[in-house]
Amino acid sequence: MIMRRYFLKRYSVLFFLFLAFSSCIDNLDFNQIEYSATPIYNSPIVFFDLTQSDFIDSTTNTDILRVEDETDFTYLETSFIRDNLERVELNFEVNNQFSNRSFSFSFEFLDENNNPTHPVINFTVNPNELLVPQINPIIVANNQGFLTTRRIRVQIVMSASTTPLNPTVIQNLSFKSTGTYYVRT
Amino acid sequence: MKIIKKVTFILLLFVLSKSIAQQQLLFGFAESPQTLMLNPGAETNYRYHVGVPFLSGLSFNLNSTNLVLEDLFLNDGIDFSLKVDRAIAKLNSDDYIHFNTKIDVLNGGFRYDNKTYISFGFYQELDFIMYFPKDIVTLVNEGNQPFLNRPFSISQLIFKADLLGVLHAGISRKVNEKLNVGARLKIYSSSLNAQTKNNSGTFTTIPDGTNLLRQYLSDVDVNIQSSGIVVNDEVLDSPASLYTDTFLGGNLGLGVDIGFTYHIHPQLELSGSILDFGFIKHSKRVKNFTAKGDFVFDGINFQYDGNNTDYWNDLDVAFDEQVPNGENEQSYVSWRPTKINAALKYSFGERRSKVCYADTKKEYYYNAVGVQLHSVFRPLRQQFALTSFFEASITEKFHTRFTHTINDFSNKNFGAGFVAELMNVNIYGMVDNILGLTQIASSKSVSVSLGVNMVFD
Repeated sequence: MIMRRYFLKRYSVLFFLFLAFSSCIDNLDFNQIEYSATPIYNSPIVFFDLTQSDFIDSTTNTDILRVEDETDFTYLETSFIRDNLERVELNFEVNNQFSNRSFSFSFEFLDENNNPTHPVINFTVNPNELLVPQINPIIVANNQGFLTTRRIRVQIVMSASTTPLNPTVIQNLSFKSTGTYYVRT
Repeated sequence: MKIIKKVTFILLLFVLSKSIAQQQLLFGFAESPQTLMLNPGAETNYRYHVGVPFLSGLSFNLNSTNLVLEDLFLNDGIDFSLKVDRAIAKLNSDDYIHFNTKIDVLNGGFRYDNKTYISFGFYQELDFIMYFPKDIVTLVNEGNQPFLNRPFSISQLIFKADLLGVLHAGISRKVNEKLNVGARLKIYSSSLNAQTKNNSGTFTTIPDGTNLLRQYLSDVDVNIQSSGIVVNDEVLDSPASLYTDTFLGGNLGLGVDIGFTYHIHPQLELSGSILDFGFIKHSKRVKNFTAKGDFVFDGINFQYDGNNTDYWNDLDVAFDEQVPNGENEQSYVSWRPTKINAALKYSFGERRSKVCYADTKKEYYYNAVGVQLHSVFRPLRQQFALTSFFEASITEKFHTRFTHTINDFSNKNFGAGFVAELMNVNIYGMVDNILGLTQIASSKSVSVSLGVNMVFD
């Protein structure tokens, strides 16, 4: 009995000492926290469907050759995007079902004072054409000013013709656009 | 550090546990005064006790699971970002981190009569649990572009944080030779609480719709409640008040512990307790966030009608109409994480008797084996742990306990503890997951508790 107790006592003491001193974290390196994530977000931007009526002045019954519309665009106001955005890819799809008119598009990025923040993106869609224009990505490092973009304007110029548009003949022009944002943190 | 880094790191650091806190290993062990905090119906055989302020009961639990320190910080030359990505891939939405620490500020007790022991005190507790919101982390970390058509779930956002003080008084009463019962009333004072669960909703991007992409928010119903964090519309910047408010200055609540010890046979003892069955009503310094609804976004639809429409503002208005969101100060109730303990203990070996208060004697045995069931109600589900234990008294004044715990995720969780009596000083210490403690780098949980009390027969 005495031996047993002696053994148990010694055993317990050694055991607790072992616990107290044997924690081993030598093989860890806490200085290696250099984390980089490269998320890719995409989001729709602008779309519209126009018909022949949108290009006819209802009072004079003449063609409207140039229309434009614009919107605020505040994605780049968020500091997270501003601080980490590397590149933006724009994807467009334009379907021109007008049989005898082409349309030239100007896609503009503007700052809050309506000054351009990026060279205007231009492309022309021919009659009866489905166009997927290839646009060079916007590299933020090459144009920091792009980050001040607060508005988007899309201007459309219709080709002129000697035959005015007929309001009773339905023709469509559809425009779709999305942005893909490459971020590195 | 940038936002993604912050989010990812907070989530990773807070991730991951599938084992549960083991302070309960002290349950029913060697009549330390602190066992009364785990079972108010525990038997007492002393005249009074006084806890050493701030030392009478300390416990610390940090549980981690699927992810261990080694996964991220092993000095192995592997790119750290790759390790983080691997860790995220490895974790699931039912992985969580749990952190709990308790400090007994004051603890004492006295014998009212031969059958009745009164105990009381005040302790502070910090408790935090957060599940791994895998979808949200993936969305932030990788973006939506690689995951078209995949719904990202908002329901995985579940967390609960509490900092509170507990003022308590309990009574342990001997009913007869076989049965001892007890109860403890607790007044909670919460200085900080944040919680959210039962959220719903998904975010999905599909390559379809009127535009090239369509984004959906479906069935969104999010409610995040907090008190003590935002004061006068500003995030609290004086953490000191968080501690002072734990003493009846915070949001108050009420709870009870109940328990019993029953001797089926002189050598066979059944004991059980329910702890922290209670709630806190949060009405001061409340700030909640809610959002509810559905939204579909195809982009800005240009009209070319010359009306100079403010599309972006219209979008904001439509969003707020369809997904009403905002902050409020509505009071709410938080439930304490109720714990249930039950143990069956068989004593054997050398039989001794010791002199107790009022010249009575109590018989006890040098050895015991037993099993113990511990359960706690957590935000996602109730958790269980089954512990088998062996107790050996090395001397009349030095008792040891060795445990082996099985829970859903581990079957080699070994613990050890002791209670030592030196003159009138009662010291206890308990560590769980010994294998882990000796190798913290690859350990999934760390749990330590200790205390020093003065006990007078």
